[in-house]
Amino acid sequence: MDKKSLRFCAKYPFTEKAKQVLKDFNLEEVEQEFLEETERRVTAALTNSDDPKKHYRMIENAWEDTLIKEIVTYPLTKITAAQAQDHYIKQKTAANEAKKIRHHLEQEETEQIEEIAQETLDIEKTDQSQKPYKLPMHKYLQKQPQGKENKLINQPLENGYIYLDKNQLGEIISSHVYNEIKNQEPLQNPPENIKDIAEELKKKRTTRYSTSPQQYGETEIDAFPPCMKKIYDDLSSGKDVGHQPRFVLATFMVNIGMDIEEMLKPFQGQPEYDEEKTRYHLQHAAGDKGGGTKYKCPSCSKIKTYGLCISDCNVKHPLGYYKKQKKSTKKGKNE
Amino acid sequence: MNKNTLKKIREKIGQYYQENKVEAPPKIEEREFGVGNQEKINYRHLGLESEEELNKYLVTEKPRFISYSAAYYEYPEKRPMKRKQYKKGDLAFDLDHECPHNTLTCYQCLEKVKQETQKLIDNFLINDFGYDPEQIEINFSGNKGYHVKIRDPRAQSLTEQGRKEIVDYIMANDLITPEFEKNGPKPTEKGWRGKIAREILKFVKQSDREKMKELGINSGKIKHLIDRREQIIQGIKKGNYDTLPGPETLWERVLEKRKIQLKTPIDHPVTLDTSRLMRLPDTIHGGSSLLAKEISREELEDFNPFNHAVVFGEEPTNIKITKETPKIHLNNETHGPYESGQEIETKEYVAVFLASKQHAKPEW
Repeated sequence: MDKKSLRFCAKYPFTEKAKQVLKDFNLEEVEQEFLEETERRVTAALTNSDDPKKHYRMIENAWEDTLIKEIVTYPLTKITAAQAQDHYIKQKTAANEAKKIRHHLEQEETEQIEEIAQETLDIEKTDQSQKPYKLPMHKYLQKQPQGKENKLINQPLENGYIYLDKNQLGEIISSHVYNEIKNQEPLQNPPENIKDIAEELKKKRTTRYSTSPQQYGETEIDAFPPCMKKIYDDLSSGKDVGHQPRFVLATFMVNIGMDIEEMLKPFQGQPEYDEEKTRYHLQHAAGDKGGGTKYKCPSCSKIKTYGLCISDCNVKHPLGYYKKQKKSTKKGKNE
Repeated sequence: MNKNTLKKIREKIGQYYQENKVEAPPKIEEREFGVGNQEKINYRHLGLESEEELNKYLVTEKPRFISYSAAYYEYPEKRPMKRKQYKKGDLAFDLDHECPHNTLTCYQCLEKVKQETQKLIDNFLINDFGYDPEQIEINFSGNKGYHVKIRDPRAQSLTEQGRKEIVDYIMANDLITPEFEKNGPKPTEKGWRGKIAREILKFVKQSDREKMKELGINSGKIKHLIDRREQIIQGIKKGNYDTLPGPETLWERVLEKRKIQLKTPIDHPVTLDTSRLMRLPDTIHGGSSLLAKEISREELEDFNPFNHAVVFGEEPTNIKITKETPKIHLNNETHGPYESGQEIETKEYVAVFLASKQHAKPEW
């Protein structure tokens, strides 16, 4: 492969072309140098220390062996991040790789972008100058970038196709990369060296993002977000509350670490209150009964879709609101 | 429901299934079924292997309600849910309407839901999402609304996140309000921007003084709108809203009003959660005795459940009214009103209807 193609592959290591370079590569016999670069790549993601501009210049100036290292360490990075079996590491790595690719695509010729898009997205050309590409809606939903502006409702959608410009193509391609890394499952029998790096990374990872319930401390109903407070109050006052809001409140209470006795309280206001039944349902939400899965508390966007959002709190997750609120009341008390 | 009423109704339901075969849903062996007599679902996690088994079950068990999953599973009978091994799920919509009126046969409310169903199918499912009309299944729910299911493989493999995007699109959640300036939305644009522009255009074209007043537009602005209507229309067609009086305040109000009309009151958990069970088409809804009839998009046009979903006959049948009952309209006939305690002889379909609604005790 010539240097120009290698450079392309180093910038876009998820493409078919880059996979050609990787064909003869054996996961069991990875050179130490590559392993070190893999560790650096994931660590950079965790510490936000990769600069896409510098990365771009590096690739532009690199010799062949550096380019190959870039290409080879991409799948290694992906596997290592998955091997750590830590949501945060995987997500940060995915975001970091996607960010670099997004930047490189912005510098790219239209033709090259189209080539990548055709391969990864299944786009078709249109005869419209402002939106020269169209993408099947279902494909878009699989690779949809985050953010309100990228929601289906804010897209020009007609007859099952979304119409796009070049800039959006870049965004969707980078979202594709993000998903590819985020959806990577750990290997059944990972090579020892990869396992070691993954362990190492896991140790390094800061603990401040941990979501164990203990961090929320004592329960403060007044710090509940408005949506949860409303369900809580409605239940307590004996109003008729549907299954969905009950369940949502239960998952919230479980996730802030309330114990069963505390959680039972609001339900006691219900005219048809049945302690045994309620206890069972709450234990189910906590993962102690039934399927054994602890249910996650839905995000604000889901709560909105369920029609339960009643206030614009400027947070993305009810747990985030609660955490913030608790912090501020604590401050208030100390002052 | 008291035991005797339930028994008598189930006998009627059993007779119906003896004479009428129910078509199995596609891949019946991969669906979970739920049945109920006292409640809509008393038992779930049932599996039925074939159309023959389904019909045998209906005849022998005579369930007052039977529902099935939009989801397809490897093992539909296993529990908990995880062990069923989800494969895919029809994209399903449940549209209904709580009737605030004092009647048991509210044509008006069902007509309203019907219009929303048509809007969902035509404007969203076909026009925007591009689904093939052949793969859209419609049925009357048997009581308060309509169910719509899409059997397109691409729709069936949507993730929960994807289904949420679809619901948000239909219900206008998270819509970014366009700027109404020189480069505003044009009526020819695709997606919601086009819908908004077309609604505003329609409003400017069709609204008279009264309608504008209803929206809270002040009289000065109304005069301006009417005097310069043609110029404003031409502007909107080009996406230019500069000629509109006070676009920020005025058009937000117009939009709010119009947005609701474009919204569809779907029961969204059904769309998001494929493990929910929905009425099996062409079975009897035991809370009304009406058939959850499968219908085509064309049939939907003139469909009136109170005429077209009545399945019982006209044999004289005795009942005792247990609740004050306003007039009911079934099969193009009016019956009642009835007082509580009244003993009457009426047609079978009226008797079963009132007993199912728990307004009468069977005396047949």
